[in-house]
Amino acid sequence: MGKILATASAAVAVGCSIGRRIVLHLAHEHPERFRALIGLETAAHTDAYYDLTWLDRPDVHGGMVCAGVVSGLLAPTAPTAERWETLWHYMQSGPGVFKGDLHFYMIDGDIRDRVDQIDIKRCPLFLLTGEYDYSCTSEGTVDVAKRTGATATIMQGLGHFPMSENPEKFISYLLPVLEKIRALKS
Amino acid sequence: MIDKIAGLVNADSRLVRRGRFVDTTFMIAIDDAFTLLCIQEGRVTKVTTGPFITPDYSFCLRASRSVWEKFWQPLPPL
Repeated sequence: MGKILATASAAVAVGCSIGRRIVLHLAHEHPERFRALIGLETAAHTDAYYDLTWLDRPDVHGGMVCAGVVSGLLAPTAPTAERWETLWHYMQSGPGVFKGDLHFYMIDGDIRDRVDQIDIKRCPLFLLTGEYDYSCTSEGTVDVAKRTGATATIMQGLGHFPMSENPEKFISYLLPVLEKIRALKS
Repeated sequence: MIDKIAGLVNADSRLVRRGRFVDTTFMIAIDDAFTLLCIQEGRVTKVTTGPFITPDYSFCLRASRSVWEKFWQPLPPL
């Protein structure tokens, strides 16, 4: 990570879900390292709205239950092939991996107490959130935007996994943001 | 919708496969209209409309008709 940060000053980092929480941490701790940061499905914190203990126990099929936990987060309009590819990603991880990811998502990555310290003058921050996402809600994104001055866009017809559940629709939201970043400075 | 539910569920091969270990009877309540649905190996095998005196079921999903009708739209409102 240190090597990446040392060479990334011309880069734009994009993170989704757990990745966008990392984006907020980068915006807070290493803003000078990036040309811009983009958070997909951004909120400063997510309360546990399901029972994580089901994700890692020997009597339950981990792949099936991990996919089950996230399946409702996709927009109902996601194309079938992309929907199942997204769920297939969640069926792949080893025992306990997704549970650990969600521990970061809900506990270790909680950045509510530092969001106000993010300075978008040091690194522009853009937020894109799918309207069907009930894990990182539109309200959670607007809250981060208000507290940081970041630009927020709610994406119609998309859920929590915009880049994999409906890439064609997502790119129509991402490209204008990249154009804005290109226009900011050369 | 209730009169079509068995055909819709049983024609959805992905749903039936996902529910292949489900064997239960549950109730759907639309206002005060009650229906028992029997599920065997993920398929709806029996739909019985009330009223009932002492119905036997594992769980009940209750909502008003207006809520069910919103939920049963091809693309429910957010």
